Amino acid sequence: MTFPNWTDSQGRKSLMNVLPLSPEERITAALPVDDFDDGEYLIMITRLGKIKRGAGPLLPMCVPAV
Amino acid sequence: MADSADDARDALMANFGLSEVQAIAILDMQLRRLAALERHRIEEEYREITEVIAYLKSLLDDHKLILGLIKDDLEMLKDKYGDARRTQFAPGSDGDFNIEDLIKDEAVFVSITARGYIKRTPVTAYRRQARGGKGLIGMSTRGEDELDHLFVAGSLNTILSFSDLGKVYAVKAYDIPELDRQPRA
Repeated sequence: MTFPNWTDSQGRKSLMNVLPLSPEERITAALPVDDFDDGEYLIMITRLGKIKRGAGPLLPMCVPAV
Repeated sequence: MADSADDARDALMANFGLSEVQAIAILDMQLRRLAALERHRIEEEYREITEVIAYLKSLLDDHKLILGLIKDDLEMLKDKYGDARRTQFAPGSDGDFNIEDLIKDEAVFVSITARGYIKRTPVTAYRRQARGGKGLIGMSTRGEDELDHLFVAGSLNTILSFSDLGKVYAVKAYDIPELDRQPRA
C-alpha cells in the first residue's frame, strides 16, 4: 500500500490530497468553469478522433473534491 | 458708558434734568449697592467653586466613586433611551452566510504536473519584465516531473479535472493549495 506524500520537498501538494484519485489515475484535461449555466455544453474530442457533447447538468456528475 | 464719576454725574444731570446733589446721591447709592452685590456674588461663586474642587478631588481619590458615577450615568441613559432589543436571535441558523463571500476574487494560475502535483499561484506573482530581463523561474519541478496542465482560472471558479479513468472531478480553485512560483526555503 502506498501513501500519497502530503507535500513534496518543495512544499507542493499531491493531487491526491485535493482529488480522490486512485493511485494510477492521471488527469488528462482540466478546465475552469465560471458558471454552470443551462445551455452550455462540454465538447470532448479524443486522440482517436471521436467527438461528443456532454449531456445533462454537468456539476452533479462530478466527483467532489476531498 | 461714562468714563469717570464726573462724566457720569454730568450725564445724569444732562439726560434726566437732575441737580448735582441728586446725581451724586444716585451715583453713590448705586456704587454701594453694586459693590455689595458684586462682593456677594463673588463670594458665592468662590464657595461654589470650592465645593466643586472638593468634589472633584474626592472623585480623583476614590476609584469607586468614579465607577459609581459612570454607573449612575449609564442607568440614567438606560432609563431615558432604553428600548427592547430589535434584532432577533435565530438559533441554529447561519442565514445566508457563504464562504465564497470571504474569498478574494482574483485570477490564479493552476498547474498540474505529470507526477500529480497541483498548485495554485496568483497571477500577481508574475510580472512583466523590461528588455534584457532574465525572466522568472515560473516553476521548479522535482526530478523527472514535468508540467502537464497550466491554465488561468478565477479563484471562485470550479476546476473540472478529467481523468484517464473517465471520471470528472470538481474542485473549487480556492481549495487548491496556494504556492508561490517557487517554494521558499
